[in-house]
Amino acid sequence: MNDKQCENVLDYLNDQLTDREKKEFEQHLRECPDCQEEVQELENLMGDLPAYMKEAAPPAGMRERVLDGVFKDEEEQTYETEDRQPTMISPEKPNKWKVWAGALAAGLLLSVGGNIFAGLQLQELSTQNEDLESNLSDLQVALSELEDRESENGDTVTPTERTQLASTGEAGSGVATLVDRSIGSELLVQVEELSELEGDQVYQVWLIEGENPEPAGAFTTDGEGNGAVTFRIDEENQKSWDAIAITKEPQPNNQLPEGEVVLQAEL
Amino acid sequence: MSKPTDYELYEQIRNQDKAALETLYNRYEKLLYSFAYRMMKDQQAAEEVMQDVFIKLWRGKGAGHYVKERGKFSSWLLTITRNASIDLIRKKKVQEVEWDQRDSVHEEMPGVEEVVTDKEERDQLRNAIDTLPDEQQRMICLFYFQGLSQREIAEKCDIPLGTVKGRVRLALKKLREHLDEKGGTTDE
Repeated sequence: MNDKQCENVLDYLNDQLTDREKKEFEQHLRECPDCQEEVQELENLMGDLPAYMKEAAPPAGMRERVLDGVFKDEEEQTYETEDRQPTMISPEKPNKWKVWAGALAAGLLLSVGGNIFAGLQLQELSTQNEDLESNLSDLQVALSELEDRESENGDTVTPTERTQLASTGEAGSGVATLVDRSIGSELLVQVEELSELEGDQVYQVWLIEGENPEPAGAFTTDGEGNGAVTFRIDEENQKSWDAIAITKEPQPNNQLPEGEVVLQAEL
Repeated sequence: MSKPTDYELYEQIRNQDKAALETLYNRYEKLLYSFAYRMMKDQQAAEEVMQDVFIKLWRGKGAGHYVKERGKFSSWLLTITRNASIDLIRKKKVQEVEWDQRDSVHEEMPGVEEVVTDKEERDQLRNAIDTLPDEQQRMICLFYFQGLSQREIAEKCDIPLGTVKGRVRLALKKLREHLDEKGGTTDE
């Protein structure tokens, strides 16, 4: 069962895990002597390699620029809560997620022409409207519950974004709501009429930034295909999410989607 | 007061002591920059990495948060520098140039092995890597210098996913042996 985690050693060392995967791996690391040993060994092997490298002369004025940059960043930080790196520009924010979702649903998309696909989606959407009405009221209840709970701690919540999840062909519909909190935010997903799960399967929610999906909670459904999940996004993990998708995964805790997308929406 | 230790400086930085950050910067500029430059092969990009590292350090959150369990402070600092480099490499989508083209340009390097000039002495790493079989050079290049994920390495080298870890490890081990043979700066 832990074999999967043990496979993450290299990606952990290269910092290629998502924040969540990293946390999970670090948790695993505490319990797995083999991984501890491996990480240690590899870290030791790599540790002082830089000492053998040829020295490069720092460019003139770098010291001032870097230190100024640090202190300037601090000033900006007081105005922005978003965790971004000022020196890096992330210019384009196209709908890359479509590529991603497309790849996932490749089998599906290949068999259905793009136009027909869109048409189907529209049809689906209109029939989903009714369902969504009822979903919405459920959601409002859930939201107010959430509010109640939070207000006990003197915290308030504001829904910042609500989006309808469109089916990619299979049955099902849903609503996703992002709720801002004073610290981080919360994602609330509610679905219905999803097809039945088998064995270890779960429905997995993904938040997608660019082409990178990050797991955002999983759920199973009841006999009627209803399901819901809330997911807490820590302040540090806040990103400008482009899309949300729900896939059917063969087993829980996948860090990257394996199954096909069943519901999706742009954010 | 005598020279503060790295950790003392780090503690002061946590208390937003600007002078401490400057002292730490001075202490590590050369090492970190040289390393970032080696990773990025570009002055400006290496400076961007430096900026990123010190911003993280100053913020002291997430990746910039050091705890003693992480081992030596200097190793940790190199690790976040390497991670920042990898991050930037990915962001810039540096075209994947193979090791041979990128690193085997022996510009000012004399061809005779025995001539150990001061310059060569300092670039022991490249020399050591050059002695490795191609496959091992490739592993080090893809894993260590380009920071690829396990899956990417498997795909690029067309080898099974499960064998990547072992090969990377072997390559790093061999590299280490070569470096040790040369009697380099063995620390600890």
